[in-house]
Amino acid sequence: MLSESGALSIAWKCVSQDAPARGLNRFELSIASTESEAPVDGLALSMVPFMPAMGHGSSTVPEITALGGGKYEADDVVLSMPGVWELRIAITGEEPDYAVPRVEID
Amino acid sequence: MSAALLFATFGHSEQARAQACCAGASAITPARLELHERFLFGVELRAASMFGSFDSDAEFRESPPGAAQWDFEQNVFGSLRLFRRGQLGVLVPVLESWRRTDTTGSEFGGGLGDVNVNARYDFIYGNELRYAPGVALLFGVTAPTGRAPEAAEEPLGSDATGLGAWQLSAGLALERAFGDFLLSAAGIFSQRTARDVRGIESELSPELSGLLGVAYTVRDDVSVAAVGTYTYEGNAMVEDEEVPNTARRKLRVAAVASVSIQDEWRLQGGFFGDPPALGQNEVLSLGGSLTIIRSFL
Repeated sequence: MLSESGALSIAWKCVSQDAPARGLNRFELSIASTESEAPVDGLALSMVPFMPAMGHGSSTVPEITALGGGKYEADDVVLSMPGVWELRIAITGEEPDYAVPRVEID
Repeated sequence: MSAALLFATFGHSEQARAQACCAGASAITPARLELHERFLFGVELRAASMFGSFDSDAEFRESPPGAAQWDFEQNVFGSLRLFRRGQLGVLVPVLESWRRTDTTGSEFGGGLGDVNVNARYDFIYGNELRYAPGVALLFGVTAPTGRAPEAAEEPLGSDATGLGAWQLSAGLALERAFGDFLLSAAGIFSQRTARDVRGIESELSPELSGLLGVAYTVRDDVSVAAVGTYTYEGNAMVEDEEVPNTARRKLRVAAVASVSIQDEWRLQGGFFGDPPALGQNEVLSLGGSLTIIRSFL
């Protein structure tokens, strides 16, 4: 997927188990420039899990760690109930940006 | 004893949905006064187990292995006669939840839920007029006194007990008796206020609930009833934009019974369940309830 500005491409996958599941999850984000296709390091990221149909978020705040090579790990992503969750990623810094990957869990 | 009292307990929009995030979302006249009663108070005990959910495409999904949730409620309520045809009530919920997943293990939490104040005005009592049904207006206000999901301390939110928003409700109830049978129907409109979720502005669409019930008076002190409620809510608004596929729908059915124990006491109980049909973006539960009421003439 592309970020809100279109400047970044963001791929994500669940690395704690085969697929996102109810409970604790860990995701790996791969972020690259859409223009150069080069991995982008040094971004300040924050994530807010949010359930739009229910109008609430999670009780935990995920921790995001830079792994290098354009990869970032989001840990402590707790998805507490079944349904569609948005993993709202805010990128702060010189060029603020935003991305909203979606997952649906049972 | 009026069979209509059965609808008051089981027919109202669920006080707490299976997910405690939405607990205390709505309650309209949970305890209804008989014609000769001036005041009542009571306690309702509820327990429910989540067994599945409807996804955003309205497909039923069973709860995965290793995931479990039990929700418990203790609702303390009271109703007071106002004028001749009105009543004012209050409901104070206390909620607990036990939850488990393979990745978090189990947890247990709870606390005070969203307190509700409600009112009912019977313009026409059932069978007061020869050819018209009973007509009543219903009102309710639910305050965000519970703990919102984002404020919960437990990872799975078992200690979340509130919606995190105010809710205003209004409705119309109709009822008519035919011999020992009582038919009841109600429609309720509920509006929640917008709320900030860690910097995200979120607003749920208004909720519409419809109730149909039939009760049968077995004898003077015993009644049974079957009740069905259907709840619909449109797409949610996030940051002032409608989010597609976030509408919510759920059907709930219940079988209830009520027994009078002396003139001032009554015991009500029954079972409820969410059939895996006609739903979307909702969790499904099976459960039961037991209520004891003390009234004052």
